[in-house]
Amino acid sequence: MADPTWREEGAASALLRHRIERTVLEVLARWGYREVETPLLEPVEGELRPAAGAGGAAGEAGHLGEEERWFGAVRLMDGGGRPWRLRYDATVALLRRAPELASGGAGLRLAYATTVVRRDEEGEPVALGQAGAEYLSAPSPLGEAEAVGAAVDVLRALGAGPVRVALGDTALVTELERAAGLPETGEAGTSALLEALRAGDHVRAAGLDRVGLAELGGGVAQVRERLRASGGGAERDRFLALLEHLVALGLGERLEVDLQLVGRWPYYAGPVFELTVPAQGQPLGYGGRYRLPGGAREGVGFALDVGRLAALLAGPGPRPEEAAPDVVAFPAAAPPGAIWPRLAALRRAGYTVALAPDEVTAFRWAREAAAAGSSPRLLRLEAGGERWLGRPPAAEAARPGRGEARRSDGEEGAGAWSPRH
Amino acid sequence: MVAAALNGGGGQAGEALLTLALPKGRLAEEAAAALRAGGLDVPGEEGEQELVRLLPGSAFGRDLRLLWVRPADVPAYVREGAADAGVTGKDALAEEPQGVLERLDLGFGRCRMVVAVRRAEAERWPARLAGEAGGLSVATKYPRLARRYFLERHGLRPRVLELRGSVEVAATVGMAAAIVDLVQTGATLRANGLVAVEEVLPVSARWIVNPVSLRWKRPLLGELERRLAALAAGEVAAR
Repeated sequence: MADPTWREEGAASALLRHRIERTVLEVLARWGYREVETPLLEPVEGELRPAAGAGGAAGEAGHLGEEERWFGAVRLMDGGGRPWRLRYDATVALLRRAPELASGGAGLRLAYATTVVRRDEEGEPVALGQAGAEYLSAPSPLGEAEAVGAAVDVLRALGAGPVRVALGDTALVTELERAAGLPETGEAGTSALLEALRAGDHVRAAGLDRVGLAELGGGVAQVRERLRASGGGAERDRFLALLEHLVALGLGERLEVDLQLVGRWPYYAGPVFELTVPAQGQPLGYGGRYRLPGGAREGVGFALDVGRLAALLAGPGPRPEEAAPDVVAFPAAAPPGAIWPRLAALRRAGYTVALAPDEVTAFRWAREAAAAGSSPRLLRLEAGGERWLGRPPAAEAARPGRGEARRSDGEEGAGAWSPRH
Repeated sequence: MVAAALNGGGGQAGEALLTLALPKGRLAEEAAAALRAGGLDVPGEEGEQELVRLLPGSAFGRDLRLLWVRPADVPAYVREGAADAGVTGKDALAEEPQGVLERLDLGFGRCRMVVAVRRAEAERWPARLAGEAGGLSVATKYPRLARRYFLERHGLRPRVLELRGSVEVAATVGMAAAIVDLVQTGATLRANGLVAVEEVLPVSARWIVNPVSLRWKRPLLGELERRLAALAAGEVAAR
């Protein structure tokens, strides 16, 4: 029976979820992030700090109670009446483990792929897949640039399609507001403008905006010019420096500055970003610089919604791993001994290899992959050898005795292959 | 091609296509008129009979697809990306606020969301709140909004009875002590012996946008928004 807390199970099979999680962790490992697990259950007692004078029940006041409310945390009671809390956010859970993981002053890069449980609007518990990264005590703007770059890299590896990055900055908005006059303060002590933007209420925000945030957004060149002319201070300079890093990462064309984007959660304290693809009605992920209450809990991170990714990748179009093979191999009367060792060697050499059952299927897969923007090579495995149909991958072609050199029929295979079926 | 576009249901609409979710009922004609004035070739009320309608070339030369749905459902279509943008009342957004961007107050469809009670009990309001035997009961089509309002304004968690329509009846026959509902002229309240005692929210039609569509269709949506904003400014000034 399907786990009822996984609402999107129909679209997102467990297999697909796990592939997504694995791809995220593999890509992040190349950026220097190591995987960390966090406890599913945490004891509540001893961590709550009721606010002075608050008469509420334990957990209804104080920093952690407040945090739990943001996320819609689910609590359980054990047989002894002891309250426990289910993991409700990967970042928060990971930060609780940070002190034991700390490795010194160079910052700490951690990756996760995990399940969190939150209450939905009706109060029902829902399981959500989160995968992402945290760079604790990250420098600015290098940390933010790295987070955006790594997140886009992950989505590229997953075959999520064209990605756009929207970038905002709560600290910059605050600085601009102060320059335009003291901001109106809202309930949470932040500016009323930021609160309206967090709620998605741009009508209310327009009435509070003395800065003209909408006019300060747009493409990189446009924003550079407008911000430089806007006056401002350290946050503006840091934001402009971040733009330079993102352009250097090759993300300039994908980037849209939107200073009305301030992140859904009140803990975002600096640059924030969201990642979108046209095929999904909601962003695939969010990230930014955060500062959580309750001690030294600052860093830069991002989280991808695994359920949304699974829904995207389960539909027509590319799938992770299967979608972007470097090599599609197929057997043509080749015995097992001529298939598996050869594929293993290719994989050891760093290639992603998909084995098709026959030639027709292999060409179909290659054609689908080509339509999704990759260009896999076709490898025919025969009883007496192998044959690349078209150019072999670069390293293979360079290997003596490999690639075209092993053709058994003398067919010219150089040049880009073209699907024949 | 037309059939394919009409049937291309789930997920985000294609980039070459602008899909709008529009409210059936009292806001329909004004919503269509506003979009026409904003430069879209949108048919009048007779178009409502066809719930999904493709209008080739009607959005500044791009194809336009209209989804005519209940006003309360417009945010869901926009949130899920089935529509890029839509028109609905502030009441629907206040009830279900997550995941869409509320971009413009369009200025039409103005009314108030109020708490109303039986006329004979109006003088005892709000003192009655504390003394209601068995707890306060409130009938409404807006259960989340009503709960939030009573908690924030009065610190109370009333028993909320969710009804689909003709909410006034619940208070008139005593099933609920109060109702939370929209009032335009107050005629329905008066006809049923009720009186408004508190305003919960001023309501008008809003232009809402899917956050992903805003990223991917910014030129098209931006142009439309600029025109709608100019019209709305005129509308507000005229009132």
